[in-house]
Amino acid sequence: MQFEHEMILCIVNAGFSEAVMDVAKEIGARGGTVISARGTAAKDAERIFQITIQPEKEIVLILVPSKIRDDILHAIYKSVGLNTPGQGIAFALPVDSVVGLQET
Amino acid sequence: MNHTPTPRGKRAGKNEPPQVSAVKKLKLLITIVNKNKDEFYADYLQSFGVNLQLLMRAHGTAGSEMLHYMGLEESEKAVLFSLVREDYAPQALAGLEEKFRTLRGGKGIAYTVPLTGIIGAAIYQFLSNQNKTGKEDFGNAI
Repeated sequence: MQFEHEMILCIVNAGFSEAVMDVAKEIGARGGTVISARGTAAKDAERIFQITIQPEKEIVLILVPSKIRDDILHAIYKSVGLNTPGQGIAFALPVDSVVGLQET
Repeated sequence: MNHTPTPRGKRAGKNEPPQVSAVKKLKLLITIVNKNKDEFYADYLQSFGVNLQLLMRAHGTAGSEMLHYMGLEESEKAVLFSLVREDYAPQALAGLEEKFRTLRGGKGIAYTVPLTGIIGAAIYQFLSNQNKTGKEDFGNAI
């Protein structure tokens, strides 16, 4: 099934939402919404590896046309992916109906 | 007029699909509006049989370059997650679109994401606003 729009959901460490939006806008996203959140990564893993995972997170919701979804996901992965200080995870969900989008 | 009843659950004709009453699917309706209109939209969506909503404070990042340089780009928003039955989703979206257009300061965006799974019959009945007989329960609707 083909969808015209998809919602990219990106979870990053607090303070990196702007970086996410900057790369998304470069590719063609028009805007996003940022929600503050708290991560609950496995405490055992933290103890074993003796690292602390920053619990303060930001969730960035970006509604994008399906055709630029992959480009945005790749750009997010490159600039704020798991191997960067942003420690971002991003995925896309299908969106079947949209209202309220302004024509450009 | 001669009316032939269609057999339920069986193939009515060679090219016709079986006439079964399928379970109504649910969708996640995401509504993003200005912060001061959050309660209004939450109440409004209840009239479409929405029984569970999750309201979160957020901030928007869309804006013009000029606003960005003036530091006025970010704006306080509310994100509303509502679980709505598939057959009510088009009405809810149409209603929201009208409110977005006509309500002063009520601009926003709304979209639906299909759900692929749910667990628990009672939870499903609650979320789909149906009682055990399959009838809709609008007792708490506005």
